Amino acid sequence: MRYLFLLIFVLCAGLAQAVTIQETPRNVYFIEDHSDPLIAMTLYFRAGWAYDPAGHEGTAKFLTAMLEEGAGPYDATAYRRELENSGIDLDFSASGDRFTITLSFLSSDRDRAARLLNLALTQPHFSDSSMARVRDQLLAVYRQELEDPDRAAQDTLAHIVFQGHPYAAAGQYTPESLNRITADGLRQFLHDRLTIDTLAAGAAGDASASDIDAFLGQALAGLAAHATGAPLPPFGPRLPKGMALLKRDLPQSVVAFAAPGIDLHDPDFYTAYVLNYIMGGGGFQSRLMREIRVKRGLSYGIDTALTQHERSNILVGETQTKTASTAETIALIQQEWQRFRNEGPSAAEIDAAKTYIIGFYPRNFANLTDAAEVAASLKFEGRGKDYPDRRQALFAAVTAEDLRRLAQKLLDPDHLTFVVVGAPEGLVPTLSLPQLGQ
Amino acid sequence: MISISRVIPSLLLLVCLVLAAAVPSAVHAQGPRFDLVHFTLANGLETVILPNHRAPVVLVQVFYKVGAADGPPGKNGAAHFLEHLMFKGTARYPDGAFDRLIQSHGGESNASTNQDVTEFHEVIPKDQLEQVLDIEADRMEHLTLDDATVLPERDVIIEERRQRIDNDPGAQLAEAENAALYLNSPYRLPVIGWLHEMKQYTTQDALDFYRHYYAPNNAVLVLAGDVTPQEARGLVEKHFAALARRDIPRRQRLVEPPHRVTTQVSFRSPLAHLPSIGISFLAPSYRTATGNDAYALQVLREVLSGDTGLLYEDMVIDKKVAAGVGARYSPRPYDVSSFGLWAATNDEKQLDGIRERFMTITHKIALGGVTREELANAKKRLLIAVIKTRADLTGPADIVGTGLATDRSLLDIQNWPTFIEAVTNDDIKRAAQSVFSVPGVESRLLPGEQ
Repeated sequence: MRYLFLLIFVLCAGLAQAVTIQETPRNVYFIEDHSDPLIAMTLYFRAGWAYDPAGHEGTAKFLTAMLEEGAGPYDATAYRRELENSGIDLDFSASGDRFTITLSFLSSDRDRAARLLNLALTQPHFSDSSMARVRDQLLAVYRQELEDPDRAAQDTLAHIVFQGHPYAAAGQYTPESLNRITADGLRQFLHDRLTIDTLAAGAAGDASASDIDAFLGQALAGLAAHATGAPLPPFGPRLPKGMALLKRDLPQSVVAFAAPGIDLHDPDFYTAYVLNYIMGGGGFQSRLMREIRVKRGLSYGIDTALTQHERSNILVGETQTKTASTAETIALIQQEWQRFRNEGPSAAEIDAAKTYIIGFYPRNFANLTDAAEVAASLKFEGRGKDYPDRRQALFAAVTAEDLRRLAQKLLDPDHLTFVVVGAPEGLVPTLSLPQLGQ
Repeated sequence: MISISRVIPSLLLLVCLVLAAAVPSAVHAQGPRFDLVHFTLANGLETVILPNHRAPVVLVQVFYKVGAADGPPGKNGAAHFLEHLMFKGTARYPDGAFDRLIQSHGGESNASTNQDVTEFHEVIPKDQLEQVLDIEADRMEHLTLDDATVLPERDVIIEERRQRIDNDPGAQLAEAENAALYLNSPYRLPVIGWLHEMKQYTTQDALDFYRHYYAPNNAVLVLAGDVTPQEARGLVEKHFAALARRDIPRRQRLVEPPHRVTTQVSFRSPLAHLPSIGISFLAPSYRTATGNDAYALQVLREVLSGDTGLLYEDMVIDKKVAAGVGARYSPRPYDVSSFGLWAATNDEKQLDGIRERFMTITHKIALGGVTREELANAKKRLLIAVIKTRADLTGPADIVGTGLATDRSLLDIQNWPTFIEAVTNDDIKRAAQSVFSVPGVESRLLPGEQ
């Protein structure tokens, strides 16, 4: 494959002439589409791993697994068979801010899907044998992630940048924190955090708005109305100039870096999005990809992204390069930062970025699962359902002047933090490694 | 379920992960099959149109009937190398202009290579269809390469190898496992190539490979999405009909000798942290299978894997010897495929016991097959997945394109649900007997110093 993009682009700004989002009375953003007998849904609760109780890191993730371990009249195996044998895909996952439930099912199975989800949320078993099995599996995942140098680089970066905030954990847990998690702790988290007031839902497919609301009414019956517990505090990321080195005996170094980001609701957000595209987010059209991969063959790829936590944000990037060219690669990134500040982007770069950003959006709706996820994200982010129509003009209005101004703020060489995982010679770290787990 | 994975000694090492995820087990349309139009131009270009009007988007995909296993000795990574170089330029679209044009209109392009097929695709707003067809037709015949663009790209694929394999102990074990599983077939070599050989690839190597294999009569073109067959056919004829047919070397692959010896490979590495074990057996592909063995093995894989699968039930829930387990099988390779079982555990001491369980389970299936309920549920799951795949943009294109590019008939591809429906327990027993009775390869990844 020519290039595997490593970072998840969290954000989905949008435009879709061909897609209409309606809002149901229960506040679901819904795209009605009867071309196949299928329904897809995404439910976000404001309850990701950043809400894990201190010392109990891994709670949200543990819960995602335990909700599939039996509920109501079904033991773990019987519950999964009920889902699988009717082709209902039900998946639980957790990011920093969001506890996510995704569903896809035949429209004829709507009642069954709602009943099974409701059982998981209101009558989960959390049996001792399931607790032990999932603990063992999470330990295996923990050990497997130790084998992944990309993960090590991103974790280390998060520890430096978000030190003192739950975001610093980067979703990581330890064998010790896993051992402290109990069934009661999971029940507490479920009761306190998966609540109606923190829900944002999106749906797409073969149903009417009232079908969707009926589904949600049945699926979520019995959840608490309001969340208990402190909200996440906002946090200004720490972005010290310099480089921290995590030694590992590898033939290729992982280089991760962070710079100031921007809030989704900042008026400059659209400018920042274009800036990121031109610098490192635009695949083969980005400056970093051209300089580091295409011209010099130093890496299989490099990309950057605006990372959007709800209460903080950064611009992150990552690349991999052989040990001997680690220092050269870092110097090139720094050089491109400076060049963008000094010269700004060309008119051709700005035009190409805008036409891409405006043109790609309909692809988000090319399948039901993606469409439901985009709709739920817009709801979670507090965007109006007409946002897809307004987005076009917002990006079109970005000017060269805006980009030059914002570059002074985001592409600040004094706030560009590097983490290297590998064994580069002669590269002296200027930042100390954070104590993981703090 | 918590997802624990293992690097699989796959023939599809470089296949795009997005596609792999969208098509969990190569499923096809039940009853109402893929709605498609199929035709072949006078120059031999086979074309398939798959209308899907959910969004104003079109997928253009070109499959060349050539992969790593067709590379000359010492240059088996040539197919993947050329895949990268296909983005470099032509006289009409010089210096990476493909990507610039496609991306500046909101499209995206990428490509992948496996042992048998090299595939290029673009997902674009529908108004860009003609532009993209012009690009694909142009680079089918007019690629230009020189050292100035080729040599940095050679460094790029070397970095790709370091990233995917040399930095990953599981991937290194998988390479050794593959080399042990295939004694003679070119599938024993990594798709990306061996590092020392990659360093020797030249511009001429890439051009030779291109001139041998890239031609309309050695390709399948698939258009999926918001197009009508009439307009699509007109555009395909306009842009591709003038391309010249070429004499393509026949695929003549080295054939496996009988396997008599059980092989064990293991890798203890300080970079490994989670012990795991895999067992792989040679298995037939669609093309090499007798009877309906390839379909019976797909149903068997479905019975064994997944979080209600037999392996998970037995080894994770009941015996508690493993944290994660799985079965893998794909009938899609051109030549002989493989059937594998794997497990990961936090306790290295369990590995011998896991191996014994694998042997017991495979033995039992070869003797008695699976239960009536297991068979019925597995078929039902496979057939429901078909409906989901049909609704997707990329899934059907991948299935039809890869199928045609590995010499399957369209009729067989369309009749997949019927073949699956027809699988009996006797079929599973017979297929399992023939696969599991031949000695396989056992591989272990172990943490710690060697």
